[in-house]
Amino acid sequence: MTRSIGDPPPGARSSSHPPPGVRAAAWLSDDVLLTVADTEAPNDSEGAPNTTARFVRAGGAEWISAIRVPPGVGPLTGGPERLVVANGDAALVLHRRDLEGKLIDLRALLRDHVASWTVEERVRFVAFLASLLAVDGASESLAEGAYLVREALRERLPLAVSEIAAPRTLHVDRLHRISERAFYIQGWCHLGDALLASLTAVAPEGSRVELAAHAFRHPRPDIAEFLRLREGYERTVPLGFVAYFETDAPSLRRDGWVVELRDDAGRGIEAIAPAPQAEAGPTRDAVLADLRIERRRNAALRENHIRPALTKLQELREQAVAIDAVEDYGSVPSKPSVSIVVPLYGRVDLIEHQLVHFANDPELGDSELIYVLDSPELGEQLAQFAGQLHALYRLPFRVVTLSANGGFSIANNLGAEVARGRRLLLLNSDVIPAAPGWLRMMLDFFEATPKIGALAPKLLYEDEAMQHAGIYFQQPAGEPEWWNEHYFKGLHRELPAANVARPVPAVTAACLMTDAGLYERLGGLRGLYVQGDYEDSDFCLRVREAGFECWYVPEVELYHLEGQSYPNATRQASSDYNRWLHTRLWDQTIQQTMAKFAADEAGAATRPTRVPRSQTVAEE
Amino acid sequence: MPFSGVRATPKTGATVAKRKVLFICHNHPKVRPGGAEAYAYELHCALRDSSEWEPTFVARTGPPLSPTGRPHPGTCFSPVDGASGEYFVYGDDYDFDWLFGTMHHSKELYTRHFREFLLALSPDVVHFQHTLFLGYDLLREVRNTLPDVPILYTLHEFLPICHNNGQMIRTMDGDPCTHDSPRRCNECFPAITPQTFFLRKRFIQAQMSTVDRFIVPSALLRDRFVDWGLPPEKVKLEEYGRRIASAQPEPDDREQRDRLGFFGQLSPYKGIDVLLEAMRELHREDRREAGTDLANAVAERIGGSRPRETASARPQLRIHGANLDLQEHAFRDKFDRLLDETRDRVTLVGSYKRDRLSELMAGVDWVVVPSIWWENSPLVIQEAFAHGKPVICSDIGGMAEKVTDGVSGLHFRVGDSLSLANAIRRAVDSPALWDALRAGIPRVHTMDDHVPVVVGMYERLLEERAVEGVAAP
Repeated sequence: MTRSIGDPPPGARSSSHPPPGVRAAAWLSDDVLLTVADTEAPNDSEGAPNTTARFVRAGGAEWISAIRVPPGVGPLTGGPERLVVANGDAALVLHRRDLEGKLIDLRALLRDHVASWTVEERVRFVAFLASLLAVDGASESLAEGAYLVREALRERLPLAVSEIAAPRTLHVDRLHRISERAFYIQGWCHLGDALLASLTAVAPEGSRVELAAHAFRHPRPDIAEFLRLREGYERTVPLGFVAYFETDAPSLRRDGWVVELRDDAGRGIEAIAPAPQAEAGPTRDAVLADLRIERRRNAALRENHIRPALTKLQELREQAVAIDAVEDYGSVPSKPSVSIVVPLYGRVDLIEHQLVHFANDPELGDSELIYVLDSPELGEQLAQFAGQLHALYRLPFRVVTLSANGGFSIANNLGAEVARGRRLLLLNSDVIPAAPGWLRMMLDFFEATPKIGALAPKLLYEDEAMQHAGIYFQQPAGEPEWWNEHYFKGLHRELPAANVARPVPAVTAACLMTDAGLYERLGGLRGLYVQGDYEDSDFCLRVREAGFECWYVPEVELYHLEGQSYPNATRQASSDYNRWLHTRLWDQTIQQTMAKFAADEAGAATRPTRVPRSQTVAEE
Repeated sequence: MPFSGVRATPKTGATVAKRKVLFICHNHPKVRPGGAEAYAYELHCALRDSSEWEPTFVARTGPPLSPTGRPHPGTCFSPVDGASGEYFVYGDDYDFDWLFGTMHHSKELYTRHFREFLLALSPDVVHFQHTLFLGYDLLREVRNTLPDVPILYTLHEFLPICHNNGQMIRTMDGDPCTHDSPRRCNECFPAITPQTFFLRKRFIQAQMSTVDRFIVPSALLRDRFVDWGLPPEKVKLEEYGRRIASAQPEPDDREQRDRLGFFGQLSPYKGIDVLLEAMRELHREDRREAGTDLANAVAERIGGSRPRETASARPQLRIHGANLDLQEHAFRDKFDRLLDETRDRVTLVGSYKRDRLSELMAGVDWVVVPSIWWENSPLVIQEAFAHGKPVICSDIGGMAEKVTDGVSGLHFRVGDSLSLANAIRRAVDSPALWDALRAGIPRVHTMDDHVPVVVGMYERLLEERAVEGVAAP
């Protein structure tokens, strides 16, 4: 990639008429050589150019080339035997001996050839070097080199101080590194009566991202109090800011982030950001916690910052997770009619409570039972235990161990990848059958029902109340968001209205039968949602989109001892987000679906009325 | 190393080879006394005399009941005192999950050790007397390894139903409990969730579904277990059969019937503290009366009035029992204190061997069974009846079922020491009452009555299998 600003003006040759060719060279990093050369070069186009990038100064008097060298020909070996430095059509050939006299220290090159440039040119040059990281992959050594250049050349602004009397101030609370190019920043700034002109995040390697217009501003009453600002100040200009942003080029270096602030009069300050926090878990928690800073469902915050940050986090997490091992206990049928996928999270003891019932059910024999261990730290414990269980219960099953904790969606999807059955049953580990024969009944129903995409049975709590009898969507009065509700939840299993097999808007993934091919075509469960919840209705809505129905079959009953796997602490924040996102993606479809079901349903009496959500304390 | 399972073929003209029954129990009475294991062993010994059946008795040993270590490397089994036909099976208790009745980490006890033993022994019938410390999983292993063999299970208390030591009394107030539910069990054990209790019940029932016949010695147990979920057609009522040494002896010529006896474990469930409190109350009453006697004697001397009727009899109590060391501190302290307060009336005889029972029974007129839990069919009641001793017992459960108030004994309000004191007072103050109750004692079900019934069950089950020709699920 080359950068130039047009053809050199006529008569650009300087009065001193320096000799053509390379004037100086320095190693920027182990794999990039910088050369300073004249703009006019002899027409020696012997061979193809190695030039990675080229930077031309304003005025066009010289250019600096950045040349990527192959591995093994770095500074320690004295450089490549032969180099070709290109300038548009022209090229310059350098031999190693040519370099010998010209090779100087990087700092010396900057001092002699770059330091005298204007601020704007220096800024451009730093950005140019930063952009090298985007090309052909970034190395730590290149990141270090770019950082050195940035530090040598950048215009330092006065350092921000958090003092009451300061006319302007800036502080970065936290910088989260989601990936090489995705970041999430939290901080605050105060400019007195001036207006914010720019708020720029500068990566250690030099990439610059402008945040002023993009960042989400929110009140920080604690800082307002600290700065002794007048009452009501934050009504017009909130002090806090959060932003999700992406850099053009990857940033590898931890230390060295700087945030620059400029007001409309051109006055500026800078703050050194703390070293980025790079662990996915705390980052996700911090982003979710920021849902609290909005007053009323602020779309800008959620859409521009929270959602991209969480989506990127989920994507990276899913990409990072793979199947580590597949272990078979006993001979699993090679052409099973149905594959049962059971994700395991946080505990493995529930397997025995499923097997003790499966063992009494001969119909399980033709199915493929797959346990997916989504808590790999329990792998050793499970490996010992699984063998024992197989010896005692004599049921074949498979254990798929994941490389890291990936979450509910990826655990199911990876289990499905391994599955060989025509039909697929997603089953939670805390679901146990009420009586034998349940699987056969579900399978028969599935096979006999045309246009069926998803099927779920009646699920019960331990006190004979219903936990699931189909899912419908409901908007509390005055609220835009759709909540997932279970028909007849809490009522006794024998309630007549709940014992009618019928199509329903959606069903639960705690016990969901579908076609394996359909599951694959739809891409399985989507990992957009944080920590479980809404993946099942999201899947069912896609099933409906594809032209299929979701059915509820009450003749089949199982117990679902829900809530035994997840801790409750973080559920609230992720629930809010998931619900917002779900509505954001499906609002229209849900409206149409519920309208259709309202028209079809034989009387509103079958659906229990509920107090509007806004008037109840949030459950779970 | 698995045995090839070849059965020796009888020579022509020789008697048919005996069929084999395997008894599995949680303890051997030679190691620690206890009712269920005592009966189970008596049944085994009775069958040793049979010409058609050859019994083997397997009793679990190891902590907490016995300090014996693992006998030999590579095997859990070892013969009891060199006898053939009796085995200890050793188990650590660290892996045993009390709540679920299962081995938590390793199923090797079943899938390796028991499997080999079962294949080598090749029994025709397996009769469980208990699975405590062994695990309900053992039922499944027997079914897996010997698909054609009938499995029977004699229930001695409510352990499958109730986590409170199988007693079905509530932890918060000691009240008897009539039915289980996830919520109620959680009320007794707040640290264990209702869902966990639900899982426990389903787990135990699933393992028990491999059993062909349940034997219960009392209508109480039958009703409770059917209520809990056992299929009624699988549950048979059959009282314990006893081989008790003497026939009912002739009563001696005593004027007063004031000697009480307690026979059993010194645990709170057996109500021994209720009995001691009753003795203490009686002692206090007598001392008050003694004060009145003195006043009367003085009045007589002075006023020449007719003497009052003779003072009431003074009841004495002998406690025969053991296992105080297994109880909690608080109970042991309470017991010691009460014993101290009643030392004029109460003698702690200590543990006893069953073969000395007649001798010990001769020294008492009444047997008291003051248990605060339901009881099933207390062996001591059968033993008392066998020796012609009426029983004073709590008015609930198996006790009230086996002892009829006013016919073969007296009832008192469960857990109420005053009520017990009144019953004792009534009992000792009237020798005529003793004679009447003694006459009302029913015939004790003997081992000679019992064995044919049990063996009959084995044979019926074997016949059913032969007819079906397929392994039961």
